[in-house]
Amino acid sequence: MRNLIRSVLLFVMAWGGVAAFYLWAGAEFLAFAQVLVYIGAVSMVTLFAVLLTRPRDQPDLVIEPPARARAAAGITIGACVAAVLIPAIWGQGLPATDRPHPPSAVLLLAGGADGTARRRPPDRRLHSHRRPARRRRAGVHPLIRRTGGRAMSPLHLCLIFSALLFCIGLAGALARSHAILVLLGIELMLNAANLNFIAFWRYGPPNAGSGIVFVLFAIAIAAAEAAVGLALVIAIYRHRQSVRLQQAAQLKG
Amino acid sequence: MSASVSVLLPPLAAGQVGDSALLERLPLMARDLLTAGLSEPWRWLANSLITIGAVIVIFASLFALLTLVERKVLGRVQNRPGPNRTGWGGILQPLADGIKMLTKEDIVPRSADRLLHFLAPVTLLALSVITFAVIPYGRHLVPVELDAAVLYFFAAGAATELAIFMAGWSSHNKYSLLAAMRALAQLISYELPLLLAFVPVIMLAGSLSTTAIVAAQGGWLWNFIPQWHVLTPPGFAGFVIFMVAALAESNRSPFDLPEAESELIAGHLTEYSGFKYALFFMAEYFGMCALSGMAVTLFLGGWQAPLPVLEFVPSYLWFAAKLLLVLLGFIWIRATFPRLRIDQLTRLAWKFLVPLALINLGTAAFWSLTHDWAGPMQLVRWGGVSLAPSSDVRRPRPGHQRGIAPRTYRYA
Repeated sequence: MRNLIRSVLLFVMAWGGVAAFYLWAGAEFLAFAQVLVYIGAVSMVTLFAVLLTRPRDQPDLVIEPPARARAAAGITIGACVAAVLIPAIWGQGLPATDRPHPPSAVLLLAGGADGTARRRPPDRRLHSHRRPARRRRAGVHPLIRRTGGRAMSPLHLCLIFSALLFCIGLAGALARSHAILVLLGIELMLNAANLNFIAFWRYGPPNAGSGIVFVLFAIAIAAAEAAVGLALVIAIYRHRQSVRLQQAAQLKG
Repeated sequence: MSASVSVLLPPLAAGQVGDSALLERLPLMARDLLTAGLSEPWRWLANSLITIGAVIVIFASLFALLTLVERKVLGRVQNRPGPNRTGWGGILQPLADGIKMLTKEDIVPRSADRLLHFLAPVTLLALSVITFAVIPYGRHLVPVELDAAVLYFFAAGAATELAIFMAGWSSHNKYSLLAAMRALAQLISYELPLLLAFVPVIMLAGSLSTTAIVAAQGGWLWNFIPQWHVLTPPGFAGFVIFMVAALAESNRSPFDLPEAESELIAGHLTEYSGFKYALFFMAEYFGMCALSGMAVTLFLGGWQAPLPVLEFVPSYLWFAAKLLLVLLGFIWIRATFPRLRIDQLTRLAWKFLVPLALINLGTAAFWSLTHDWAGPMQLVRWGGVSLAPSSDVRRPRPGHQRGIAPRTYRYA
């Protein structure tokens, strides 16, 4: 797997996984937008950039392992952030109301009549056996309920998952010195933030469409950022015959 | 996926004649008869599998028929008989081709990335097949009803680019890779006008769901003019842009540069042989059928009959007739136009089609905002909408390279 093209193709699968998460959460419009923008466009731009910046002296597109100190520093920082984020999420009392009918993204965007989907999304709850009791209690305390660090709601799991994704992206962006891989790390962090938006949209107060709109803007901005960033990478490569970030440390050329 | 395969028979719509309603529901009734003895989750599964099987079988046989029809029509246009030796008048030619492809040796280059080399045709075919899921084939025949069906269709279509890149890169052949990058440049360029061309339809119908878009095209003006989107000015412009972009997206002549068989060897398919090559070929035809089906759904009224008196013909037959008409148009265009050069191809997309599609977007907004203008204002409405696209046609400036001028190699 020390091949840059294979890494990017696997990374595309991660984007597909994020689209699958959106589908699960009931935001199908966003899921298809994610596939259209990331798998259809950003992945192509990334692959083109990889092919256009291949090192002259190497026969194939092999990823060099990062310098040991850099890698250690990146992974340590990523782990530290994870160590801060995950307990913080764990101890948080979060609204855990699963909306009975999540608003359909399309209807919301088109300013639909009531903003409710025709069908409810597939109900793959992570703790289905605990669910009825919680719903009864949610009837007493409408939105907010302390988890007390023991029971976990699906929202907690979503947030922890996205925090892990964010930390992986952070570690990757810090540990790598290949400019394209750093950009991919940043993309991963952006996607983690989008996961948060959708998780809060699904488990937050009903009839709020703002989470989806935020993610739509984030996807558009991430696509533009990828295009601009990769154009910069190609410009640096043409100038210095290398995409190492350490060698692009000065503006004077 | 929040999808529901319609399991139960939908209730009779008001105003349907008994006979035509029976014909309309015949496929669904046959399916329900087959799965009547099963209990609920299994019945749902069996129904879904039957739907998938039917779609694949119908489009696979359409693919076989289409290869023969294409060769016959091309032969007729070029004043030669076409394939006429296998079976009666060449009717068994697709079968012979299939056997030939299946029995050929499957060669994988020694230095190829074997996994990706295998995955590329599989991914491409899978992605082309799943686009068939959201096309409404008849009044009650939609395999999967999604709220964002149109977006789903084009998302699956856009993901096929990945498979083309995989094919070019995994072959470990510089010509394959270059051809794949060229093909991708073409696909990405024409993705934009393709997506922009159907936005007016979304604005007019007010929905991304294919069933709602077809339903919005029902009814007749003065009892004989169908209200299809192609008959509105923004819809017509959108249809033309859509068809040009669809030709390019499905690698059809005159945009068949990715595998221009008289110039290149086979583009990104150079290192593919035997059954894998057949899969690529099949995916290309599936893509063409799916895009034609989407064009019929978005612009040509889907399964709606063209005249009220013709409503007794079941809706799926109308869909099939329109689909075949569009496909014959594709073949006709292939026989008529010469191939474009790569610079003409990209110029057509970026400097003509994309601005035209954007203007058309504004026109569509004007058109849908002014739908209640009456009397002389109707003339203003039609005039404004008809004149708007002419702003995309630029006068030739001296020294400015036109599409048909000899090529100057500025960067070479």
